[in-house]
Parts: sequence; C-alpha cells; structure tokens
Amino acid sequence: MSHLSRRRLLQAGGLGVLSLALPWTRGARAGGAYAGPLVMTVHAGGGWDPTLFCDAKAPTADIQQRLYTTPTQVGAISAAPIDLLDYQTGVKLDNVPAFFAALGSRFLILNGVDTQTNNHDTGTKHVWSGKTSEELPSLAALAAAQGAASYPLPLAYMSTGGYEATANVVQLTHVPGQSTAKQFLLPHTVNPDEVVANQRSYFSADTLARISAAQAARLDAVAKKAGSKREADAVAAFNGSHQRMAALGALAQQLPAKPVTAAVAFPALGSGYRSGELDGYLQSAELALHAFKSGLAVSASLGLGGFDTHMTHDRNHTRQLGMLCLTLRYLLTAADALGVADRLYVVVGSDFGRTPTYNVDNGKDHWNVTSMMLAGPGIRGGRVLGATDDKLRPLRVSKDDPSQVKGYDDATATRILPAHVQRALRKKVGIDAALAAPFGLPVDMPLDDMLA
Amino acid sequence: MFDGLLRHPSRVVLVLPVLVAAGLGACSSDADTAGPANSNKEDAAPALDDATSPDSGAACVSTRDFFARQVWPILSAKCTSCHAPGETASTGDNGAHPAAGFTLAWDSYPDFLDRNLAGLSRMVTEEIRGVPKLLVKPIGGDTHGGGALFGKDAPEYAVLKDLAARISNQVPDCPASGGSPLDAVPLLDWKSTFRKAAINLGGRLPKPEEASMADEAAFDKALTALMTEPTFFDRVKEMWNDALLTDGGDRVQTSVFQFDAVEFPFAKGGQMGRDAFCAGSADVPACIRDFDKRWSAIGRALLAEPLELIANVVRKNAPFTEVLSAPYGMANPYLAQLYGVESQFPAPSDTNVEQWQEVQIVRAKAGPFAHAGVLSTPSFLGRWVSTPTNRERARSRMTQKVFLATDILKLAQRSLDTSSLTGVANAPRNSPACTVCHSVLDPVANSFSNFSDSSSFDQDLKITAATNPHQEMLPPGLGVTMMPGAETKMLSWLGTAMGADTRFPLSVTRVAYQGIVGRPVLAYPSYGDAATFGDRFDAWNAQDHAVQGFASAFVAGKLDFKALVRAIVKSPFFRAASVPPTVPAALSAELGAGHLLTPEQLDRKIRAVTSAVYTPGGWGVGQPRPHRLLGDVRTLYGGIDSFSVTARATAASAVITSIAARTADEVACQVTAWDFTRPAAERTLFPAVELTTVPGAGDADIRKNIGLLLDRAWGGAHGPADPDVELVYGIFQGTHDELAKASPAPPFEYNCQGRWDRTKDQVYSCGTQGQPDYVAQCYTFDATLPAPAQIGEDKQFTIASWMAVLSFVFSDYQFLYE
Repeated sequence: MSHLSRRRLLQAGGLGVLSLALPWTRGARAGGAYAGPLVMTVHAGGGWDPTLFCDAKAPTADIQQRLYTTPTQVGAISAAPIDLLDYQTGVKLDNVPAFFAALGSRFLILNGVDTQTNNHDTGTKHVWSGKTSEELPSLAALAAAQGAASYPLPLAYMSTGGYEATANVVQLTHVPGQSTAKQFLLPHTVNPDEVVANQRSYFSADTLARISAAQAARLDAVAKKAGSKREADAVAAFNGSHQRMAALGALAQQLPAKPVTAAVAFPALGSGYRSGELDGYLQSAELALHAFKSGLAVSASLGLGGFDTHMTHDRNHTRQLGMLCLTLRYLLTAADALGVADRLYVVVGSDFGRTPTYNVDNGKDHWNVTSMMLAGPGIRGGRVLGATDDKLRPLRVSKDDPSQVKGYDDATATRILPAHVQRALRKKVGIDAALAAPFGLPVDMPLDDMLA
Repeated sequence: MFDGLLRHPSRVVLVLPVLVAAGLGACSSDADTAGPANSNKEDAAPALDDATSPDSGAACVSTRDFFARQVWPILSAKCTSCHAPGETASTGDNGAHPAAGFTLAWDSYPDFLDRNLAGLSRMVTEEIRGVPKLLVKPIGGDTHGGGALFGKDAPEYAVLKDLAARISNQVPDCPASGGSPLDAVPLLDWKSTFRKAAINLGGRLPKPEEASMADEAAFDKALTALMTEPTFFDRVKEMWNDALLTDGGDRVQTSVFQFDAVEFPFAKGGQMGRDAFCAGSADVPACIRDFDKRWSAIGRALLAEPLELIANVVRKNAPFTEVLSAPYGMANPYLAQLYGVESQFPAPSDTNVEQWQEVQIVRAKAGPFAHAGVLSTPSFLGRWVSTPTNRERARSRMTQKVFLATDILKLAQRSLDTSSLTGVANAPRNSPACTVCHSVLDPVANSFSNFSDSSSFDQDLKITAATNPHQEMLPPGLGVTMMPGAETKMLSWLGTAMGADTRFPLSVTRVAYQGIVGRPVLAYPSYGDAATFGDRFDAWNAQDHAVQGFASAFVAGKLDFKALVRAIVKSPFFRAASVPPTVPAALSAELGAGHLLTPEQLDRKIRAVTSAVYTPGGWGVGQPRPHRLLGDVRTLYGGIDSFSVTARATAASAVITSIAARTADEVACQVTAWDFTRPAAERTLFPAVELTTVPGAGDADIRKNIGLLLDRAWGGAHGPADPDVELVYGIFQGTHDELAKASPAPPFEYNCQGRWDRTKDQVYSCGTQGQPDYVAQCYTFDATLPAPAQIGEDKQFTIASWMAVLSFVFSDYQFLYE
C-alpha cells in the first residue's frame, strides 16, 4: 500500500494521526489480510429477563415466577428449566438447560449487572458503551476502528441493529438481508443473481480501470479544493469508501448460493418451520461471519427485537429467547466451521432486565439489573460472576476477586457495572490505549481482569 | 409570545485564555479509578475562561456568553444534582410540588442557557437582607437545603458575584460586540446558491430564466416560486417524516381494524376481508381487484395523512402552529370513504389519489371528531401506540421531541437504581429518580387520554382532563401548566399550548435545519475532551446564535415555514463557499458543501439531469413507475425506513459508494442509447454529438458535449480547456479505442440498447385486457419505440464510450454530494 493511499485511508477512517501510533499498523505495512480479533455483539432489544435464562430465581416473596419453581443447575449456571416455544407455531425452539449444556462452557455469565437505568436508550447506551451520559463507541466500533486503521476494510463495522454509536472512529454500514447484498457486492455486474459463469459486466476490466483512475484523479483535485472541514471530511470519506469498495467482490464469491434458513440449520424444527424473523437473524449472522472470513469486516452488531414484554411476558419472552438461543447456536457453530471462532468475541446483552413481579397485563416491566454473556479467546467460559439476591437486587463482588459475591450494600465491594465489563473487554480484545483514551470509562473499583 | 427568542444579543464569540482556577471546575481527564462508589465518574466541568467583565481589561462578552462560559460550568457541577427538573430542590414541573427553590434545566433542554439565565436573574432580583439569593444560598445561607457549596473566598463565588453585578446592571453588558465567526465566511453567489437550492428543495436544475440570477432580489423571487412547486412539498414531507417517522409502512398500526365499524361504517367492509366481502358479487374477480386496490390506497393515504397535513399548512402559508392545532384532518378520495366524507370528493381513481383536502370527520354515533393537527391522525397514533403500561408515553415522547425540542431520553442519563424503589408507591410520580422524566413526560401523555390505551382510533370526548383514566399519573397539561379540569378536547388544548411554547419555533427550526443542511443542530458539547472543548463550545455557540436567528425569522415571518426555509438557505450553513482558518474547526465541520444526497434527492437529481426516472424494471399495471433508489436499496444508500433505520447516513460508506456505482452504470445503460434516439434538439445529454462523432475528427464536438454534460450534472461552467473536460475526454477516447481494437467486438448489452422510451409506460401482453388475468399477470415496462427509431447496434462504439462517460459523471463526488 502506497504512503499516499494509506494516508487517505487513515483520513477516511476518521482516526487521522492517532492511528499512526497504533501497533496494529505494522501488520498492514507487511501486507496480508486482516487477522486480528473479531467482535460480534448480540443485542436482545427491549430488555431481556435473565430469570428466564441464565439467572434463574425460585419464586420468593418478592419474585414472581410462573413458569418454574426450581432452577436447574448446569455447571455453574443457574438455568431456567423451561422450553422456549414459538407460540405462533407451537414449535419448540430450544430448551434453556440444554442450551447451556451445549454452549455454557464457552460463555462467561455476568449476573447482577447494574445498568443504572430503566430507560431503553440510556440502558442500551450504557450496556454497550459503558457510559450513560455520552454515546461512546462500543467495543465493536473500537475494534473495527483499530482494524480499519491498518487494513482496507470495506465493511469494518456492520450492523443490523443494536447499539450503533461510533463517535466517528469508524464508519458503520447498515447491512441488508442477503437477498440484496449482491447488488452492492458486485456493483458493475449486470445481473449478480445469475450463476457466476453467466454474469456479465457493464464495462470491461480496462474500461473500469480507466474510470477508476479518473475517479482517483478527480478526488485528489476535489480534495485540494475543499472549502471547509465538512467538505474535506466528506471527500476523505468518499475517497476511503472507494478504496474499500474494491474488496467487496471477495465476499460475493464467499457467500453460499442460498442464504441459511432456520429449517436448514436446525432440522429438528421440522422442514415446515418458517420464521422470517429467525431466518433474518441467522442470515445476518451468516453474512457477518463470511465478511469476517473474507477479511472485510472486524465487527458486527446484531440486533434482535421483541424483548420488551410489558404484556403476556412469559409467552412472548420465551419465544424471543428461543430465537436468541438458536441464533447463538448457529453463530458459534458456523464460526467454528468457517475457522474464525478462535478470533471471535461474542458479547450478548440487553437494555436492562425486567421486574421481579408481573404487572396487571401479565407482563414484566423495566428493571435496572441485568445479565451479560461473553465468549471469545482468553475468556474463561463455564463461569458465573456476580449475582442477584432474593429481591432481584444486584449483589456486589470483591474488587480483588470478582468471583466472590458480597452483600447488597457492602461498601468494600462493587456492583458490576457495564463500565467494568467494557473496560475488561477492551483490555482482552487489545484495544489500543491511544484509541480508547478519549473514551475513558473511570470506575471506582476496576475489575479489568475478570474475564481471564 | 416569542419575545425570548428575540431579546438576546447574537454572535458574540471570543477566544479567551484559560484559567484553571485552583482546581475549581478544572477539566479533569477521565482518571481510571476516580469517582464515587459504584458509579461512573461523569464528566467534570471544563476549565474556566479568564475573567471577562467589561472592566477586567479582557475582551468584552455579553452576559449570555459570560453565563455560558463561566457560570454554567459551576452550576452544572454544583447545583443541577438537586435543582434539575424533578430533582429534590426543584419546584417540579407540575406546579403542585410544594418544595421551594428554582429549576436549572440540563443542557439537553432546548434554550437551556436562556432559560437558566432567566431563572438566575430572578435569584438576583430576589434578595435576602439586601443580598441577592444567588449569593446567599450557595454559601449555605437562608437554610439552603444543600448547605454550603463553597465559601465567599472561592473563585465560584466571585464568578456568581460578577454575574449578579451584570444582571443588576451594575456592570454594563457588552452585547454583540465581537461578531460571529460566521461573519467571515465567504458565501456562494446567488446563482450558485439557487442551483443548490433548486436541487435540494425542488429536485430540479435551474431554469434558463433563472440562470442569470444576479442579486438577492432575483434570488428571493426565484426561491419564492420554487417553494410553490410540487417537489418542494415532497421535500417538506420528507424532512418531517424524518422527525415523525410515521411513513413506516405496514408496521404502523393503521389497519382497518383500528377503526370502530359503528363509528366508521365503511370500515366494516374492509374488516370482512375480500373473500367475504365479495362472496355475493356478480363478478367476484373484479370485486376482489377493486377491494384490494381500494384498501391498499386507503392504507397508503392513512400513512400519508400527517405529512399531507403539514404540506397543506406550508402550502397555505399558514402559521405552522396549525400543524398542532388544525381543527381538521386530511383526506384524498380513497380515505374520504373511510372517514365518511366521500360526498365532498370525486369518485376515487388512479388520477386523483393526490387530490388532498381538509376534512372534518363526523362519526356515525359519537359525532364530530376533535382534530388536533397531526397529533390526532391515525398514522401518528398508530406509529406511536399506547398500551396499558405505556399509557400514551410514547406519543408524549415523540410529540415533545419533534415539536418542543425536548428529548425525554436525554433527561435520564444519570444513575438510577430501580431495585431500590421497591418500597416507593407510584414511583414515576413520587420518586425523584423517576420524576426527572415523568414530570415532563406524563402531563403530555395524559393529554392523549381521549384515546384509549391501545392502537385504536377511538376518541372518547366524554373523558375530561379531570376524569382521565390515568389518575396515578400527573394530570393532563404541559409543563407547569395544568389543563382545565373540564376540558374534553384535550389534544386540541395541548396542540394550542405547544404552539404557544417558546420551544416550538426552535424545534421546528431544528427539523428544518437538518432537513435542508443534512446535519443535526449541534448538541451542547460534552466536557469529555478538554483540549477541544473550547473549539466545540465556540462552534456550538455560533450555531446556537444562528439557530436562534432562524427561529426569530420564523417568528417574525408569522410562523410561515417558508420564511424559516428562506432564512436557513440564505445562511452560511447552506451557502458557505469556503471557510477561513479562523473559524473553529468544529464549526467548519458544519459549513458548506459535503452534503451526501439522500436517496430521494439523488433520485430526483437523476431525473432532472437525464429527464428519465431511474426505474428497476417492470411494475404492476396501474401502479406508478417505481423508483429504484426508493425501493430495496433505499436504506443501503443511507436512507431510512422509519422503523428499523431511523437516522440517515451522512457520509459515504463502501456500500453506499458501491450502490452509487451500480446506479451510475444502470442509469448510463438506461439513458445513453435512448437519448440518441431523439432529435439532437430534444436530447438532454448529447445535444452536440451524433453516434458518428468519433475521436479525431469529432474532438471539438465531443469536448463541447462533455462540457455541457458536466455543466448539467455537476454545475458550474466547463469550457473545452477545463481539466475535467480533458479528464472525461480521456475516458471517452480510451474506451472508444479499446472497443475499436477489440476482436470480436464486444456484445451490446440488450437492456442498454435504444429500443425503449424511458419516459413512457406500456403494458406488455401477457393476459387479456378486461379479464382478471390482465392485471394479475401483466407488468408495465418502458414503452417500445417504433422500429425505425430504435438503436440496436453500436457500430461506432460511441454508445458504449458515452456510457462509460456517464458512469463516471454520475458516480462522481460532485454529482452525489451538494
């Protein structure tokens, strides 16, 4: 990569001179595809209920639970002993203990995480950025920025929902369903849906090269004439996007001819099972994994919806948890198959939790205490940190040994806050200090090594 | 009513040395382990600027800027934790709270500076034993609930004392003496400004008679005319949908089942479903076709209604407050049937679906419906539905966000522990942890109580403000003003009250600004990065003054939305030609060119430049010609779907640029040969060349045509010697040479051939006209040209060469950005 194009890339990435100090740039100078850490965040939008999942609670005077009375212990995990049914079809999607029996060893469970809010936007912001007052970039955005500083990644940070703030450290790309993806993956192909052998281009390779050279000349000229920072930023972003666009074709070749469906990925559901919602989640995961495999992306944010169950909580929430479980099963299995699992961090979270009691509509409302699940290289799975008490309040953990649960108001210990989690993740993923510096996450009692 | 907008001095920005006074308000970096137990350490206040009173010898600043730079950092750090709305020492917003004190709005409130300065002014004029309260309370006097925050010898006290002196006129103010950094920004000439406005607001290029625009008067006249054109109202609707998000398709709950068939008898047919409805028909297939078409059109009209109401207000040049207070709804001939007012309309048809007019709904049993502008439209109510637990709060949140510039979600950024509230009865009303939002949220939410906690369009005017079903919530009203208990038309009351609120013109200004400029108004800068805070504050301050000026122009123009548009279009934020280095970098980032066209704007620009709609292919019989960029690639190109994607992309990504490349190729394919099928005088793209004009002998004509093409697509004037003309000529010549040498000659892509008229529709034979299969199986395409007019070959390779040129021109920065 020439010095000039590298400079353009840095400008386009929004990092400017900051990136020059990043150690990751050394790999890019040596050439080769991106081979650093990958991040997939999975957001259960609306506020999930950990008591139906990974923080099962027996009914108490302050906790109402209508689906079970006794949690099932799966290793260290207190799992809700329930089937996860798709009430719309009657099909059993998953079973919580079975899910953790299969995948619990890969996940570190954090219970009793205090989001300090019951506001959707603030909670989402807090969980994924570590701060309530500002829209800081998430771990996914920071990791993508770090990768994009050194590699021409056209889809550095992909998203189909969830927390998407970037603080302009990297550009976010909203990713559509796969049905339209080839429209942009093969921009000069007349009909990208045709079999490869029959695909035709509007222009020959020589003509495209001629146009591309003229575009580069124009962009240089326009950049020199930019009259404001706004225009200079726009030209730089456009320039950078041009360079990153060239690599998109590799992903087109990588994708399977037919996108994954739930019925194909999970034959036990029955060949007749159809869910556009679940298929969409799986296909988003599939596209992201192939983008990782192709070296085009570093991070992806996957958003699932439907967890804000103020009415008929048990029925509606278990369906969404079933979809989440199947999405995670597919994600990890496919990551293994594609050979990217050893670099992939998966972080699962939600806006906040849900109240310990039912409202008059058999729903459960907003509760600031929640759980998170983390997996990835160097994260020791099969463990649970943090806990809630019999009022579903967050218990503190020892600042020296977070595996030790302390009392609700033990001043010598700390509640687990999203800032703790994000700090620890930044450290584990290896986010450069210079990149993270403007987005500090100060806490009273750090738990930076709790993932190991 | 809007005096507050007009009173404060404008454009005073000074760059001052920084005094970090003895640790006071010092902007600390985020120390890793600092902060209170179990909470994130939120930002400290920024460093204070140097003393800037008129007699200090430093440059003079207005009281407002003095307040913003020096006082507000103290207040936000020391006082807002108790005095913010809903906090323990505030009066609360319901007026019924007995606590004494005054309220300090967070910086997420609109006009928080003026609001807080006004509040402090009262604390200066009110004295305790001859000393302003402002100087008594913070040092612990007069039984201040928060005790002593600092002593008399503290720097904070000196700053407050200085402010008190300014407010009590002991120190002369220095209004508007320093000028704004915006004053130094060179502007586009009026001709260039109009081209930009014509594309942005009118979706067209300047007309020949507008090309010689020389002065402001001519610009004003042309802009006035532009703002009467249909596309301008489309733009108005787009910018308001970006805010209201009501045009969200099937996910907006406006189905026929939201209408009570007793009150809206026409709904009964729709609720039956087409099979039952048509069961007794003599011509079942025709009945089903008619049923589907009618209810599809009604569904689209319901979604469009609030935006059509806004466009109607703008079209009439009526005060924009009518958007909230209009005693009418809007209907077209299809929707008129559902509303039971079809007698006021012609029979619905394909040709009159855009014939909208004001209507007063009269329900069969309950009588006249109480309209309140967009707030009472089914689309708004169906997009922001109420539930038994939500209790109209989503409606309240959006109403205040869009029309009062008050984002409830921004008010809840501090820590909250709901797990500690288990013993608090009715926490939203009684716990300070909740009232910070709910005192603002709930009175407006309760004002929607004529509608039930559902998605139904079921207004009950027997419910009064006093008898509302949400007695556990704060009563209906707006802020500290409670609605009269006997009020039955609660939304009408609310709409009128909101229209009279000083935040209303500011809020409308914000929406218009973002719609026109393509970027949101800056938020008050966070203190996170101390090194850049001064620059960001200066940018915010300059823009805030400008935005206040836009709002003032809006008010002075009798709240005519067009007056607001005019003020924004004539400002440096739209017209900046370049930005001198003296302008703060954060402000330079908001000025001038660099606006990535939205998919809607690019679609219109393509049509304006090529005279053809960019169409994906075939479409249904009787349906309007689809626009490729408004279909499945809309969100890929940075657009919104009003549900999943609600914020527009403002910078190009690889995907956006890739879609732009595909668009350029496909448009080039669609229009190149077609343009040559027309006589030279009628062509829009190639008036100076023929298919036989080849490099060498035809160089002059080719360069001339390239210049005309660039003028049209990019703007400006491109003579034969222009470097861009030379660059484009290289593409033409290189492509031509390549193809001429190729053996065998490359095939001429069928869809790119000149066989069709890209502006005319034709239904292709795949059924029998008049029979059911005609509509069910047939599609519409571009009309086939007469055989003699068709171009099916590219013998001279000029079509392919011009296609390459167009692909380049249409994928260029200058085409995709304005």
